[in-house]
Amino acid sequence: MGDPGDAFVTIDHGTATTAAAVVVRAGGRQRLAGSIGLPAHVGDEATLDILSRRLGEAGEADGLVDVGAIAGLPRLETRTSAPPVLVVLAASVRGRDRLTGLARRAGWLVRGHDLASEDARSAVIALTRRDVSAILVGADDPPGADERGLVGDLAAVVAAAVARRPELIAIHAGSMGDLAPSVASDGDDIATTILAPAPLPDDGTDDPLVTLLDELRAEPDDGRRAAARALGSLARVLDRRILLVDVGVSAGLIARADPTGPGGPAQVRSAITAAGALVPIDLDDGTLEAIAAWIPEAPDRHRLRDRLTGLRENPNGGATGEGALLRMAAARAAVTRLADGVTWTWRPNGPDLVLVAGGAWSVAPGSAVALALCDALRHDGARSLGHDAARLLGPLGMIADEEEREAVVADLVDDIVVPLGSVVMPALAAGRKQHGEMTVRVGGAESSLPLIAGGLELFDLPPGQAAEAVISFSDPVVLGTRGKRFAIDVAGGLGGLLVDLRGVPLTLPENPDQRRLRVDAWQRAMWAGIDG
Amino acid sequence: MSAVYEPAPPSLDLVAARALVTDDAVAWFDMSPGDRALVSVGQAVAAGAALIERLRDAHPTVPQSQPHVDARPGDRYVPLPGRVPSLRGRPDPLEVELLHHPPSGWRVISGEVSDTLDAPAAGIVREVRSGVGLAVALEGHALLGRAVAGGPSRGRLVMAADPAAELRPGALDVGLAGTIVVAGSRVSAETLSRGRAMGLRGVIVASLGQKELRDFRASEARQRAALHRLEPFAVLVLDGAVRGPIAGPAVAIMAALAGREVAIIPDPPALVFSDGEASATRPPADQVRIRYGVDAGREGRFVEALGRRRFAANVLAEAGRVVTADGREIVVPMADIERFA
Repeated sequence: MGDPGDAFVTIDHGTATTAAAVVVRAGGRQRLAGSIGLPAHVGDEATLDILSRRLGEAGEADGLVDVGAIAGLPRLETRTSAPPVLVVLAASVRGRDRLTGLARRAGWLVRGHDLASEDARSAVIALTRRDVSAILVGADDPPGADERGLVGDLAAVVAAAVARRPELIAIHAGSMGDLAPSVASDGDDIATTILAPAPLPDDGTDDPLVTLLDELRAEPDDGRRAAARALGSLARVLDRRILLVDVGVSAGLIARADPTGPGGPAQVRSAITAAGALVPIDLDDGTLEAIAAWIPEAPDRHRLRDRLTGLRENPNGGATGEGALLRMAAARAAVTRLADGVTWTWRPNGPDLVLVAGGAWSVAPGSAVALALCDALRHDGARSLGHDAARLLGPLGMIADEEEREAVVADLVDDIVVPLGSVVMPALAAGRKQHGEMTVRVGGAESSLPLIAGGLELFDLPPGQAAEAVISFSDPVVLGTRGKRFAIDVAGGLGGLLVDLRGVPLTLPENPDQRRLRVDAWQRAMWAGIDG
Repeated sequence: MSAVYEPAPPSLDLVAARALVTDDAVAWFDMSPGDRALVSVGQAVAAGAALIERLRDAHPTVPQSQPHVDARPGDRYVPLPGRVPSLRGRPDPLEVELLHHPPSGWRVISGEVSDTLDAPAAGIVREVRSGVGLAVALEGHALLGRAVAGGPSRGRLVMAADPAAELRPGALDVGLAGTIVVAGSRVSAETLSRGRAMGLRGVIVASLGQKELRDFRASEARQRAALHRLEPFAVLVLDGAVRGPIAGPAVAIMAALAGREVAIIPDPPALVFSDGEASATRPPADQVRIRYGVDAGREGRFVEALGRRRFAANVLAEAGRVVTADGREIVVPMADIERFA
């Protein structure tokens, strides 16, 4: 980017949609003049053209920027694309599962194979399919008892694959690195052979192998990696623990940024996974059931699978009416998969703010998005909910200088975090019919409402409104800590203040009709015009 | 600074354009270790010419002798040195492919049962990769679809069902043997099984459910495992998994091809034909098809983009005005319509 004082454009090229925004300087700070999201096929220039016209018509940018010159402004651009295919090859089922799990956390679309359960020909076929970009072959260092007799065969199978497809990237992890030179001598035309460390024994989140695989997968302008960088800046600016869940068509991102104290960088952890996509390519029965649980209608499973496949094939189409409900059901399940796929979603403490991003959320009103987050992220605590509706985080993450990035993020913080509201989610003691009361103090005014276990209470608190909620229960509950009375600062939003007493974890009724009735009732309460 | 800015509204550009026909399709045919390419790069092939010899019962074995030190995986090798083949230019039937070279010595691919994959259409071989596949630049034109199950295949095209109807199993008989049948909006797994049993070469359908696709693939796998010789059979899915009629422009092309020889290729998924007049059958630029909602399947003329409008379930979306073929003027989400490029 040029002079940060200048107006600039952000463009986030998604798999299905392109989001563009114009940032201008006004009143001594930068602010969002306007944004738009259109199907990716429309193209950058046409998208900016439409945004310019709309800004001109609305007068939003009057005196701030020449709308006719928006296409010529400096640009911060990011791009997300379908994950490339990586085939894991290991000597044992144990090694395969371990490497497969690590590679999935690095954002690859992974297929796992092992020589303990299939022959060399099958393995060569799997490694040489046309859609495969890279091979990860690995064994413990030193090889485990279940691997020792097969490491030579592993190396030979990889050599056979790269001899047939020399453009493959071959990553040799752990003790397989010792055999990489012999692989090279068998196949002189190997384009890229990379030596990698063995996976850490504790399967930790900061495994260097995951970092290496992520580096190999992502392009420099990868939108989700950039968003994780910008999330660190946002956490420092707000001095809050932030969880970001980005659900896209081809993959999903979960990232968490924790401030480490004055002057220190935020600690950022992130995982990009193909399984976190709105509709994952591996649409197994478990995933299907998880989505079906959130659909108020009674879908036939085969028809539902077809509709979800259609959603993956054409993510922009059929987004109204029932299609919007289907998207939100799929988004709930995707958030759950993302949150369950890492160990740090709620550790060491729950986040203060949950921020959502990605095209999956664009179809529903803010209140419905807030409900979806309550449904999918079940953990006791109080937190704010926000939406990066203009998809600014990714492009802002492309600002290389941390201080400059933080300054821009500080200016744009209210545009990055469109407030969806706050949620208070206590964990109630099992088997008790608890009740309580909530008093909300806004300025000098005060209002109360009763709380009943199993319910979902909504208090209308508009965006920009801060309040204190005093909540008391008949029996002790866990809300970050154990107690009967809590005073919590909350912020308003499009979904207001939600007090979620439905239980942690949330158990939906076994009876399908009862479950559908309940899901329908919750959605109707939060989704104005759902029948419109 | 000025707010006056009036470029031409890019209205039709907002409608997703679907590629209907390509004239430069390059077909890819998968091979596995042990399969043998019967053609070479640059060679012209006619429709029906043998492309690949496929080993049906391929498995790794230890050869009777080890190859030369310079041998590489994928090389062909005759493990009986000194043998004098009398094959008059044909590949030595005892020639095998070197699979890989583990520490215990080379392994080769052996097998006794093979069949050939024939070129579904004429073209020129562009690439051959031992054990991986080969590419053929096809002559003629390709009507593009979304997916193919089975295949490749070749046969005479028959319009067997209304584009919006579902072809029933009872509609198929042996009189359709050797044909590729246009089956309408959808087919069941039973229809596909019966079609194969009746000797059909293929089925073209607008949509195919995931269950039907899974059942069909499982049936294919069972038959392959039994080592029966499988006659070519392919299912070309034009749109995807969501039910709907075949698009009018695709129907127009296929109707012009009825009675002619055509082919289905799996990669890219397409119907290949040589008739230039059929290829020239293109819809007007503003013809659109509605893919979702109460008017799904209808076609009409795109009039204008309307900007953001509110639709069912309170969803804000880019909207467009369309006049349907029956003269109704409707407002639809732009993402719900498609045009044909």
